[in-house]
Amino acid sequence: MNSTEMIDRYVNEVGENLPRKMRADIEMELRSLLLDALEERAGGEPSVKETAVLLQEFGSPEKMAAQYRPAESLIGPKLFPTYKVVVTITVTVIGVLHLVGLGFVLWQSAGADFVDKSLNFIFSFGQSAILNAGIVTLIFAIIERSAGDEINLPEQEKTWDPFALPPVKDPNRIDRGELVVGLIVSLLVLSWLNLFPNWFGGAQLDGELPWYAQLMTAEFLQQIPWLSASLLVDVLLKTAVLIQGRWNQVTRWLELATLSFGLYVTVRIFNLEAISTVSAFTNGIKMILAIVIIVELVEVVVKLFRLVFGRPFPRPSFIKSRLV
Amino acid sequence: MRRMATNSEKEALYDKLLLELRRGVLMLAVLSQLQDEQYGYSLKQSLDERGMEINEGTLYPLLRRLEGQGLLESDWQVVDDTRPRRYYKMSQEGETVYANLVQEWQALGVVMDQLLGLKSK
Repeated sequence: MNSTEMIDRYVNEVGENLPRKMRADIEMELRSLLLDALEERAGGEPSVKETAVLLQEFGSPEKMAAQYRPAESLIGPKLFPTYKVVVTITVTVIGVLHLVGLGFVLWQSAGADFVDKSLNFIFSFGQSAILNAGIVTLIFAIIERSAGDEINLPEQEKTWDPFALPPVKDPNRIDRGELVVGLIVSLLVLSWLNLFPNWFGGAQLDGELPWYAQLMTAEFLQQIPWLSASLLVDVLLKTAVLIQGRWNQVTRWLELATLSFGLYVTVRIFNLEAISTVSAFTNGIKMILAIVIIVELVEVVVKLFRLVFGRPFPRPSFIKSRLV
Repeated sequence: MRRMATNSEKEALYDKLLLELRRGVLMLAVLSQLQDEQYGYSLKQSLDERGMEINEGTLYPLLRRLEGQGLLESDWQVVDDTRPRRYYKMSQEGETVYANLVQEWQALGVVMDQLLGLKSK
């Protein structure tokens, strides 16, 4: 780790503990303040040790973020990091329990009324999550009001180590390998669906009685345009992202739209009465599709949450130039 | 019967009381140096040079709070082709509040000197 990376990690960690609306501005200012102080102490090439000493003087990221948080918040700066962890754990546990419950109910009913049951579980999850997060907030607010001044920052504050700062995650960096593999698979499936639709069957042509049997129902084959459309938008998006080299706000929203469309197509196929001419295959495929739908649903919700509440995408800044 | 405080508890209590004592004074000290615009690090140096040492973790968030209260205004500038810095300056409202607080400080100083026996009546 070099000096610049250590500063990046520190600033990022402070930002993680700040409200979204304050984050970008404080991160920018904090970076500028750290660079000013380092320049004064070490000149042009500060060592990583000098940087670590400076960061320790600034205080742990949690403490620094706590100082920036408005004092009049319902949950004060000292309690906020713990509050955030407790709310995250509570909502995650509720989410996992709901997913397990939904999987069990779908397994019991062999996938009947999938959409209705899923919507009920989503609604129930939202209700439980809000209620429990509210209870946690209330408890923390009471602690804040009754013992706010008596609360001390955690003991680890005194011993925090700048060398142990976690690396900065860049959610907008693309994984070229993953994208290219995804692109090839989508193109292969797209070609297979449209150029060789009759391959969805079994054939034995060199025996005494050559035979061919259509494995998929006509009902399923009618869904090929939907499947193709879903794959095509996926291919177009992946190509655009590969050309751009990074994810941005527009491509992230398009990714969410593509995923939602893919989810819709999967549900359409799941709702078919018979997917395969062999009923055992239909049941097997429906079980696999049920798992795919749950995974896709979670992915859509997580991506939507990240887009709405996550770290904002960098915007062009308007800095007054005062060159003298 | 009340338990005897340990040395570390006594130190912690003293630190806490000192912090409370300095809290209000720091705000006035910061305002006093922002009649002309300054960026964070230059302000810290300016206060340090005058004997008012403030920890970075206290000073920089304090600037944001004072700005949030309308006493300071700030903007990002690039001066002398260096990196962008946020410059703070007292706002018009800040100047009025500062002038009143200085008067209060003077009056308080007289009273406190008398209470502490530092100056005869």
